[in-house]
Amino acid sequence: MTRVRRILAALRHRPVAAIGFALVLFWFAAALLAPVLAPFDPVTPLTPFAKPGAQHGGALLLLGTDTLGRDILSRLLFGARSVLVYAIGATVLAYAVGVTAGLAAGYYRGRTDTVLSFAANVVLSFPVLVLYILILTTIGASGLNILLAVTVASAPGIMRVVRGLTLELRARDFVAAAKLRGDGAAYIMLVEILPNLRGPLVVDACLRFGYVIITIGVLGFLGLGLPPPAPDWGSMIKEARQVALAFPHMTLAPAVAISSLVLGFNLLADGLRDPNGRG
Amino acid sequence: MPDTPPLLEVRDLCVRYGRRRRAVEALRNVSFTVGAGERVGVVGESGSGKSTLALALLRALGAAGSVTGGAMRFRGADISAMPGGALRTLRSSGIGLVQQEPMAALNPAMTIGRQLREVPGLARATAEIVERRIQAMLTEVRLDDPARILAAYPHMLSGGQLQRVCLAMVLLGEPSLLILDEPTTALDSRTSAAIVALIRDMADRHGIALLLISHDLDLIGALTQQALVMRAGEVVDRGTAQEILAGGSHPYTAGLVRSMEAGSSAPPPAGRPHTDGAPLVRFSGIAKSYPLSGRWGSGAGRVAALHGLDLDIAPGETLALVGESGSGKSTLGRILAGLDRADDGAVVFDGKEIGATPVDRRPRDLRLDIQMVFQDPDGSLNPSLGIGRQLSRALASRGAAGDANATADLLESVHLPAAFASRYPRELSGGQKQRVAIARAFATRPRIVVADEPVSALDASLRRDVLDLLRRLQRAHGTALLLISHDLKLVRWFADRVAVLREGVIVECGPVARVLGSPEHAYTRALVDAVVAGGPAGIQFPARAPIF
Repeated sequence: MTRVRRILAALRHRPVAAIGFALVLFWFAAALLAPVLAPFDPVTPLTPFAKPGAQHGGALLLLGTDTLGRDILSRLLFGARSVLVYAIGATVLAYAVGVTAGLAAGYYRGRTDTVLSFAANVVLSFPVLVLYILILTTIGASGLNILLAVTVASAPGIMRVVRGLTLELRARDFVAAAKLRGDGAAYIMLVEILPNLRGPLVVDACLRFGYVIITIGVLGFLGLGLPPPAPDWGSMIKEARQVALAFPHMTLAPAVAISSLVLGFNLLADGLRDPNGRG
Repeated sequence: MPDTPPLLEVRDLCVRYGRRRRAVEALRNVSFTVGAGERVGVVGESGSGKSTLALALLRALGAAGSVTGGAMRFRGADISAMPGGALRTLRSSGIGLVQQEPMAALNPAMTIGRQLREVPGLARATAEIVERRIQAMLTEVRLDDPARILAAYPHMLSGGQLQRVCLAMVLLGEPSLLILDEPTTALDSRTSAAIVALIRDMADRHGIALLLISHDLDLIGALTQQALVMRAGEVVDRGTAQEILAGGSHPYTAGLVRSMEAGSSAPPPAGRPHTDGAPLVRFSGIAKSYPLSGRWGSGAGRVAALHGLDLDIAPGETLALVGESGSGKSTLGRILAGLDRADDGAVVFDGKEIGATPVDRRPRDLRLDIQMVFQDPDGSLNPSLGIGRQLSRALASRGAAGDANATADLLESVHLPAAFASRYPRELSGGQKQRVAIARAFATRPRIVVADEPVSALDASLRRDVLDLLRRLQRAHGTALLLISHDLKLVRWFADRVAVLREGVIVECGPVARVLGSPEHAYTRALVDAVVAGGPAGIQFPARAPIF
């Protein structure tokens, strides 16, 4: 309650963050209300190659239709659902893995750290795109596998951030005090150290979230996204690529959707990066 | 009436931080003058605006602060209205500033020599003259082996050496006024006594006026003739240094002087005689060294912190461990608590060897028997957890009830209201945080508490309360206390026995009155003399009533 009010108050003083927050909020609302807002079914063909503003059976095709005649606005709205669900799922999973590994590496140091850091460095040494193609062509493109691929690719980066912060925090006196009162390693990592990572991790999560959205778009574009006919922003761009010059609206609409959502998260991250160090 | 204006004249100076509604008045109508060669002290606690004053005089307040009224004149010229060139001259060769943290004042990535050669006043001289002047200045600030100092990076030098470098750097500009902002706070007592002597000597020799900003009344007494007392941005008292040290004319000054004396006038309750019988803790042959990192990280050998140290601590006694910074005092406390491991030797606690077992592997009861109070109040409490939660966890660790009532009782035992349980550390002052840390240490009903410089990070006026509290809890629970401190006055007042640590071994150990009253070892004598030389005669800790 008071926390919500404090965040809203903070946003008022930071217009950049407020714009980001508004963009993010817009797409979340679009995803939630897609069944209500969408004028058509996202997978039913209507009139192929309709320009924006055309009519279909008395209803307006605000953003036109794609090559198969499906309403682009409806596909965008439903596409927001899948992109947000998978981006949130992948980010949460990547954080669960990365934070756990980072805490362990930073707190235990020694051999644990050597092994985990080496594994992370191996993953980070692959060009990201090659890594995705490798993983998804091996285990096949599906929603769950996208989650796994994104987790494998982002967890090492998260781990390194968490590891660095943990190394610094474990040397603080309050950690020594916790040891002296008999607290174990798990308690110290999760209760004493983790809450202090909140500030930097919230900022990192916003940036990473945007990055994951781009990744999901790219995977769709490469044909490694959600299998058709699911409305997927990256796939929409891919399908319209060959007619992009004649019908720019088909590629422009999903491209703007991806950019605005990513921009929203990036601005939010900038705004949350409080100059006073308070997350 | 003299024709020449005073060296520095400050009239009705007002400084404000922040804008509009969030503005804070940092200085209000501050007026004083410093004549050529005069020495003026500014006394006050942290937050009183002392450092703001120093920054304002150099027009270095930054974007957040602004002078909202009054005038500052240096040799009659208005500092606020100086154009760029004149301001640079003022900063390079008019007013010199020596700050509290020499490490922060120097660039860690440049050698001392390169930083000294950059002093603006030297820019027009030839390289040969520059070298000669730098060498002469280093000798003058009594840095032996100038060649090594010049080639060194800041992290390779001690705090005292760095402060001498800073002083040399400022003096190379040949200032006529030297502002010293807590110049010895970051140094241990013997080093700071040497720095004080050096400052006095340099000021004498070059006829430099001093503006000394400090919370330390001893320092004010040792270095200045006139003094101002500041509180919340206002000058509340002024007079000669002797008048101020004698209590001044304002009640606040009197309070400040009293709190410096740190001791309560009533004799402490008698402790039990413990010198007979088995010791609670016995250190024997403790050795500990750390790898010394060379320029490329390794290969430079090891530096010994402790070698072959023997020491006993009796149940319920207060043993003070004194020595200069870097003498290994803190290391010994951490070894006892299991936070560090000795390379060699044994730590016997209550008849059992525990030195080889790090804290994570010690049985719970043993961990709870040995608690610590840390130096830095900010680091010792978790900033993300509420006070109540941190205390109740400590209470519950011994199987006691960790509920709200118990937490409230615990808070009350350190004179804090029960409502503090719902606060976060950032909402507490330094003194309050340290009280919470003490409460936490005693919550597990330990048999010994290691207090590592428990009040050195606190304002003078808070020290006495915190120490009184520590002593009361210690007496009430019959807890032994290992007090690690570099402050001999505090030790004299607070401890039963004192052990003097030098270069990793105990050179002298015995009852406080005997060791500090008639020291046998030359090093102890030097430590005791440093305190006497550094402080004025006016301030003494009250003599401690004998316990037995």
